[in-house]
Amino acid sequence: MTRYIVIRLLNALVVVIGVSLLVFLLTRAVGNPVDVMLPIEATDEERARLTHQLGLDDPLYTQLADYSVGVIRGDFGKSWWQGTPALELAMERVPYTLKLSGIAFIIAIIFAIPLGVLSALRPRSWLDKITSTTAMLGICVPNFWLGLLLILIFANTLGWFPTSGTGGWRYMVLPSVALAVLPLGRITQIVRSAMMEQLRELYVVTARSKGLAEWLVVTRHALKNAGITIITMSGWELGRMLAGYTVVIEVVFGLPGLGHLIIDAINYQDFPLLQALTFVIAVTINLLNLIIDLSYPLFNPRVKFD
Amino acid sequence: MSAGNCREQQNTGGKCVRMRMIKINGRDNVKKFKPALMILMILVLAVSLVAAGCGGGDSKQQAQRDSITIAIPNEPSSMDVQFPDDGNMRLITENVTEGLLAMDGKSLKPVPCLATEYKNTSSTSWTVKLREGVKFHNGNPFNADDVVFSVKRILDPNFKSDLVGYFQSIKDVKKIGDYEVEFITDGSDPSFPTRLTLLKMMDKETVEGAPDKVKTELVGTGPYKQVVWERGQNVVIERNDQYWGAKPTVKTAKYRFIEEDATRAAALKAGEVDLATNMLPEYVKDLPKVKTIEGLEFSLVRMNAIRGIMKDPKMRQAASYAINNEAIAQSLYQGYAAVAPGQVFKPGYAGFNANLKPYPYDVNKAKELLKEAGYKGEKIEFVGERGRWLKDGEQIETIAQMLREAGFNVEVKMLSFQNWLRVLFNREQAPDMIFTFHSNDIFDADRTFSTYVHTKGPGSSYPDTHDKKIEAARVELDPAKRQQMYEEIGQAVYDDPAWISLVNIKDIYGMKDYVEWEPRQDMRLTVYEMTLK
Amino acid sequence: MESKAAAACVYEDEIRDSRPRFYALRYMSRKMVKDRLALYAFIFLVLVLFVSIAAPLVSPYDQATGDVWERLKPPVWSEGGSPEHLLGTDQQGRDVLSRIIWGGRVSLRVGFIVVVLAAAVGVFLGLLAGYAGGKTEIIIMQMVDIQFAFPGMLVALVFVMVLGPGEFNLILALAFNGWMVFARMARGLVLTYRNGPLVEAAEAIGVKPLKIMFRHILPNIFSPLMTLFVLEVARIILAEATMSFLGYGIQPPTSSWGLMIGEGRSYFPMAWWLVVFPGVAIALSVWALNIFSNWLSTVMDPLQKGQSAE
Repeated sequence: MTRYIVIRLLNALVVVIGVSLLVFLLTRAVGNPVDVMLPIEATDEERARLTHQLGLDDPLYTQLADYSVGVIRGDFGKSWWQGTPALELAMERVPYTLKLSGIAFIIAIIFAIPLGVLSALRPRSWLDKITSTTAMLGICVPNFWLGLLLILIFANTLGWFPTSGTGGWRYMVLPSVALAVLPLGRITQIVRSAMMEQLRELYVVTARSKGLAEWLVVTRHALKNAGITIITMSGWELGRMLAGYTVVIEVVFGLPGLGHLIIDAINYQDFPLLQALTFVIAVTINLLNLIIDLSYPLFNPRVKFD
Repeated sequence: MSAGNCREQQNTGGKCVRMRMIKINGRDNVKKFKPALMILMILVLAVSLVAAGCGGGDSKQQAQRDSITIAIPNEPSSMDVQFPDDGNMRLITENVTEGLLAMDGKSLKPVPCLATEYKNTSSTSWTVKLREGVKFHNGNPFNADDVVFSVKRILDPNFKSDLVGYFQSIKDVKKIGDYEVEFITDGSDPSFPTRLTLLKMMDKETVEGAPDKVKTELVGTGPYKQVVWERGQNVVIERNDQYWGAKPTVKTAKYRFIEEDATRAAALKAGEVDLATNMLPEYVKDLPKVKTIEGLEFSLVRMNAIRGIMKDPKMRQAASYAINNEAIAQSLYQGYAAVAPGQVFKPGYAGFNANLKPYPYDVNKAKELLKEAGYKGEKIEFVGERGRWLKDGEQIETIAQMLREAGFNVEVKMLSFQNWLRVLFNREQAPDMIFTFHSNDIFDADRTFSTYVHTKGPGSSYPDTHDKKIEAARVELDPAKRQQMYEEIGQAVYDDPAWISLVNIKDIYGMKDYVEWEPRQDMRLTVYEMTLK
Repeated sequence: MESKAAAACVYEDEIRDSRPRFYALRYMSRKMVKDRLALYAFIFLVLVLFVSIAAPLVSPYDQATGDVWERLKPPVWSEGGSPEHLLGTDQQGRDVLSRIIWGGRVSLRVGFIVVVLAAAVGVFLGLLAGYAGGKTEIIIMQMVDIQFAFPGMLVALVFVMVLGPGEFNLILALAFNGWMVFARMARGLVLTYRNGPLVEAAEAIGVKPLKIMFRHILPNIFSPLMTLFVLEVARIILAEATMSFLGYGIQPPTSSWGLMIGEGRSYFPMAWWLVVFPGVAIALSVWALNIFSNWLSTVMDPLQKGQSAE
């Protein structure tokens, strides 16, 4: 077990270093970001001075060495855009994104598991058809577009929810719904197909033939055994949400999360901030994956880490 | 690795985790599973979620109106007024900090603020008397030490302020008495007083005590003090009851950052905010109350007068005739833009030339000129960007289309902002045409000509014809003579066009009925001038 | 690195001959007609494909040219709409229908090219890993693992920031994030054939490894890859839309569905057609591709007959 965790952590380390290095090299290929940072009317001397001050005229290996030393000390440098430590800026935004993804994920799971199970139990029934169509719809509808529609209908026209920003729970409703739809569709499909496979298994037949209550057969046996697939795929969805879907949802709803900060960092070509963000996101995703892996024994005691 | 590899089989439908297990549970139960029950549960959950949403209603209290919520498009990058050149920051900090002089919103002339009087004692020196009894928000008194500190801080090359370009003419500053300072300029600088309006005063003790805190917590002398800045969400400022000047009526102002234009307007309509900036002309009819003002920003298309197909003045004149500025102002901007008066200045700017008129829209004349220039449909590169200014992308494409109609073979190249800037600054590889917005913050022709005409200007693709005159005018102390020189340059770059002057867009502010405020030309969002009914 | 459980991932389900049954076209068409949903999806896809290819002929107006005086006109059935612009005009007076037609062309083109690139690289590496085994496999699969743990969207955004927005760069960025899906699947499928009689026989008579990989293994694993291909096109269309919506994808004046939504969203409250139509176009196309992919997998994979929903 410990050995497994160590190996996984080492793996995660490789990934984090890989991503950080990639982003470092990519950002250095951009050219001089100073132009964006100074007003149009600035002179060449001002530009040259700022370039020098940011260390952008050092050779690449020196920059990389400085960067690596900084990262080991947990120092990504100061954000060029805001002038404060980049890692701090990135960490400030983590709770918002986690909260948003968390709520959306819970919504997705709450609806997806029962829907998936039910449609697996009654394949080809009207319920299954409706569920499958809805799930498919969730997968097909672009979430940013759905977000815009939700704002127009529920905030602009009906006025039930605020249009954007942060505040009480009412501010979270529209963004988390818009964010939840895609994972909801995917997870429903996963639950359905995983359950269908389990329900064909011999042990289910046996359990049923013993006259065990259907709901027990479904929940205790089939669902539990489908658990690993479901949790794995759901974990993937959560990971994608954290590092992908939230970007566009946070932009549409004006939420102060990591995704929004990524866009800001890119617009301002704020390299330190971008590097800190990459680091934070890569670490989060890898931790998430590890937690998911470690949860397997809960569903299947046979899983041994070796 | 086992489980890890297994779960990644996602695209094979998760078949790998099919554990064939036989479990036998001893307990027997006769009841059948009811899908209907589960559906019911889901429905109940869904309905309760929606109902909870509806039940909330609009919670905003509007009992006593002494506070205002303002929606601005973007968050400030910092609260250090001396560091970034950041318009979003200034929307807030203009209420919190002050300069030695302030800009009068109507006349666009510098008026005393933290200074009571200023004198040009020699061609390169200015003495400034400071207001006595002024206190910073933390109680520290304001005096000459703070002025010297503030000026030196912003000029310090190691501090790398974005604003340093505005103050490069300042060579030194000296304390004469506790409430008197002397500025030494590098050569004579007629626009020195205007520059002082942009130089905000900070407290020496505060900044030196905690240099990093300044980036997030601003201490000034202004009518408002900063209360809180919640990153990504809002900034709140509160009335400074110890203010030396007239006390404002609004007690607190909360700034919210709403990037999406439509959302900003919707928030105003829904009562989430009381005032919203940067409204689109199309929103106007749906907003409770609208105030507009001609802002500082002029759009222009700079043309390459030093090489390529546009080098021929006839080509550039033809392009000027080909643009229907009226259509841009009336249809694209719905009338919320004014056709530029043949130049990118407004009456009141130093150097405005009243004799210039916009080029008339005349396609035939344009075609004629093209023929005279011997144009044979060579490709003309037109570089633009979008998203930085109101309807910039739309304007570019409209202009390109108008040019095409006149016979220009225009190819639009939309670049990201950073790449667009790189192209704009590169004189050697200047494209035939490039779209930009120009904003003259010191209302002085020098800023424009030095940037876009003088061969050393970062945005210039014009021959050195006027270099000498621009340099001479920059240091000319006699206002009449200076005006004369700028009018001549203005006429020259009109006749042999350096750019097409397009439109001056209006800033549109949406507000609730109870908000009383007149927008200002200099785009300052002055909470201290607002009242609430 | 590879343990028993990983090997167990490969189930005998996949050890079946899954060569595409293209010779059974009649069988396929019969299945298609029976499966109504798949039929509609297929018809829709054909329609979109045709319109996209014939865009210069079909499109009523140029995608980039508009009339400033004819801005924000509603669709024909709304008050104020005119039959000249069936779906109305946009913020620059351009015809929305024409822009949707041209936008579809871009979306399909990007989706197709990206997935072809990703599939070519991914399948090759997957084949290599599965066939060669040993260190090659470990290295390739480690790369795949690392890539999977990458925050894909973030990397794509940084890519585009570096290279500059535009169709070509967008394709590179998306392909960079898409290859490993194919690699993993191809490898998994290869493992089932690696030690089968077919490969053994080929090896025995001295067929070169590359030839074995492409001649003998690839055709056998072709149909599940085909299904994945269609599914990935759908995913890439959504990704392209998202990137263009954010302003980091297709650049104006070229049209793209995501870009149309992105550009039109400021006018959404007073001109719903700018946002609604492109969104519907995206959703329908992605839906049709998904249904089609589902159908493909059922048809090409007879063992699954009756398992799939429709």
